[in-house]
Amino acid sequence: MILFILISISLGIEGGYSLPASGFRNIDGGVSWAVNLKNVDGIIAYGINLNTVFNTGKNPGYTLNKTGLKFLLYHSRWRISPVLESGFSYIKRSLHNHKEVGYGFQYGIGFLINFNFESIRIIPGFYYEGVTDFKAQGGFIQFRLGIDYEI
Amino acid sequence: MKFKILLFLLLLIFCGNNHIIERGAGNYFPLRENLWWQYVSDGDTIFVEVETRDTILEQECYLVDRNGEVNYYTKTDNGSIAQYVKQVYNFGGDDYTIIEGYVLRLELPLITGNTFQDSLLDSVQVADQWIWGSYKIQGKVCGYQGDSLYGDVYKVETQIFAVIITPDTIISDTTDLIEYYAADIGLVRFNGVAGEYQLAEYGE
Repeated sequence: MILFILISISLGIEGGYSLPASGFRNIDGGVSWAVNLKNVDGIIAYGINLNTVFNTGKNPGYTLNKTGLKFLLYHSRWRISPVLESGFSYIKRSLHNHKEVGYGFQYGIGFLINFNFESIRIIPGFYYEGVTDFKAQGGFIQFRLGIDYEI
Repeated sequence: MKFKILLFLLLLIFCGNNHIIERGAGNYFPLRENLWWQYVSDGDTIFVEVETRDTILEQECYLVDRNGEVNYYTKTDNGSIAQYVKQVYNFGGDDYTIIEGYVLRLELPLITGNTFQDSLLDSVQVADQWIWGSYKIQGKVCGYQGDSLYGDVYKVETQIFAVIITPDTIISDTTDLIEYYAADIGLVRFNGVAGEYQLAEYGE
C-alpha cells in the first residue's frame, strides 16, 4: 500500500496572485506560493498543500500574511475539473513594526485545467479562497499556476 | 481515527478562539450617509449622524453632525480617516484663517501597539503681526478586548494639541480622548465632558 502511494505521488509547486473578494477592504492584493504532494493515480486526485499568501494593504505599512496547510481534491482525468480545498491557516497582520497573529479555518472552491505532458502536469486554476475565525469571514479570488511532477 | 477527529476539533476550536479575521476584515470606522449612533452617559445624550457628502479643498468628505457640532471626515488614499481642521483668528471683528487642511484622525487598520501622528502648522499676517497656529494629533492603539455585545473592541488613546501664538498671547487647548471602536459599528464608547459615554443605539 505504501509502495502504491509512493509510486503514484506527484510533487508540485504553485504560484499565483490574489485579490480581495469579500471583507479585507484594506487589502490591495497579494502573491501566493505553495508546495504540494498529491496522489493522482485514481480518478479523484487528492493531496496536501502547504501554502503562503503575502498580501499588501492600501496602507503601505500594512501586510496580511497567511500560511496554511490544506487538503485538496479534484478530478484527475477531466481537462477542466472543479477543486475543493480545506485546511488551517496561521495569520499575521502587521502595521509598521506592530503585529497581531491568529489562526483561521480556510476553505476553497474553484476549477483547474489539466495539461498533461507525460510525467509533468501544468495546472492553471481559478479559485475563491475563504478564511474564517467562525465569527467573521473574508475571501480572495486567486489565479494560480501549478507544475506537478509525477515521481 | 478518534485521535484525528479530536485533533481536527481542537484545531477548529483554536481557529475560533482568536477573532483575527473579524479584526482584519471588519470596518472599524464606517462612513456612510445616514449612519447614526446614539450615546448616553449620566443624564446626557449625544447623537451623531453622518449627513451629506461634501467637497472641501478638492477632497470628498462626510459631514458628521454631533449634537449640532459639525465635523468633516474623509477616507485617505491608504484607507485611514482624516479630519478637516480650520483654525481661525479673530481680529477687529474679522476672521483670519491660520490653518486649513486635513489631519490624520485614525490610522487604519487598527493593530495593537501602533502609534500615529500628524500635524498642521501655518501662519498668517494680521495688521502687521504674524499669528502662528498649529494643530497636532497623536494616537496610540492600546489593544483590544473581547466584548460579548460588540466582538473585539479596540481602545485608542488620542491627544489633540491646538495652539495659536500671537505677539501678546499663546492660546492653547489640549484634548485627551479615550475611544473604543468595534468592527462594522465604529465608536462604541468614549470619554466626554459628562464621563464615559456608551453606545445605546445605532442604525442607518
